[in-house]
Amino acid sequence: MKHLKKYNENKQEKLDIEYLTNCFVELIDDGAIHKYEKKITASQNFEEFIIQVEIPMIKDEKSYISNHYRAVGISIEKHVENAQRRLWIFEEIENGLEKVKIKYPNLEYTIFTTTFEVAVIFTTQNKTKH
Amino acid sequence: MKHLKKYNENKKDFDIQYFNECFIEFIDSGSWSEIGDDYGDGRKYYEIIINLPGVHHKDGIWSFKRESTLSGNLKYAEELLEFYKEIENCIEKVMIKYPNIEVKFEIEKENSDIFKEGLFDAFVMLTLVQGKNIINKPMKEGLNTIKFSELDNTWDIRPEN
Repeated sequence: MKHLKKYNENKQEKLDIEYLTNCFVELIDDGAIHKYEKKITASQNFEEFIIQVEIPMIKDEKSYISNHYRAVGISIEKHVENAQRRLWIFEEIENGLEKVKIKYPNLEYTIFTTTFEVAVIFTTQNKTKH
Repeated sequence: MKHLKKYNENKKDFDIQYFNECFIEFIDSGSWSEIGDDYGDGRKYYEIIINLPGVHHKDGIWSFKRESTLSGNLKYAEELLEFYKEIENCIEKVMIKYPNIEVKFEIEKENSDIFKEGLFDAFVMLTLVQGKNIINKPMKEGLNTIKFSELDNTWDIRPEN
């Protein structure tokens, strides 16, 4: 019976996906990818919730000269617009994280940033060993 | 000539000092600038190279600040926005004296080790080209002509109406 109780506890999701999704609703409505995965391996059992946002890049006309790579023909207004959007993305991530902490003050998360995207990965702290 | 109306700056007024005053903050931070005599079509131009925030170039080696934390990324995003807005302000100042200036804005990517790390946005190359002389000429029925002597090295003829 004890073993069965423990098994059922493990089966239950610890993360409220609807709540987490609502924390990042602005980004998600704007096209951010969100994924939920329950990972069960021989040694671990945990959940992951991922928010993935594309960082705006200048993708228009480009030319490659020698070892130089150039974005040309793009107005300064477009660069200002992109920089504003970049700032908005990180502000929304910060706001979202604060909301997450209300319900899950100890939830672990990692932020990965590349030139093209930023991803926030939440993972349940108790990686239960079988 | 009385029907011809020329807008535009006098070429003699195209001086580096005025441009550098407009871009004073970048010049003081070490940005390189020059005046060129011929953009390829006889027009003068001003060119300034400004490193993006967090980018340094010393002894031929490029270095790029990389942020891994949220607060670092937020700070960098703010710096980047401020950077582009400052360039926009500088261009607006230039346009007070040179309203027809043509703005060529480019971002150059660089890296000292492109095979290992790839290329990163490194610097802005801003070229401000002397505006074309605009001649507004009233259009008559039939063939419209303009004397060659009425034109400067550069020109752009438009119907007055």
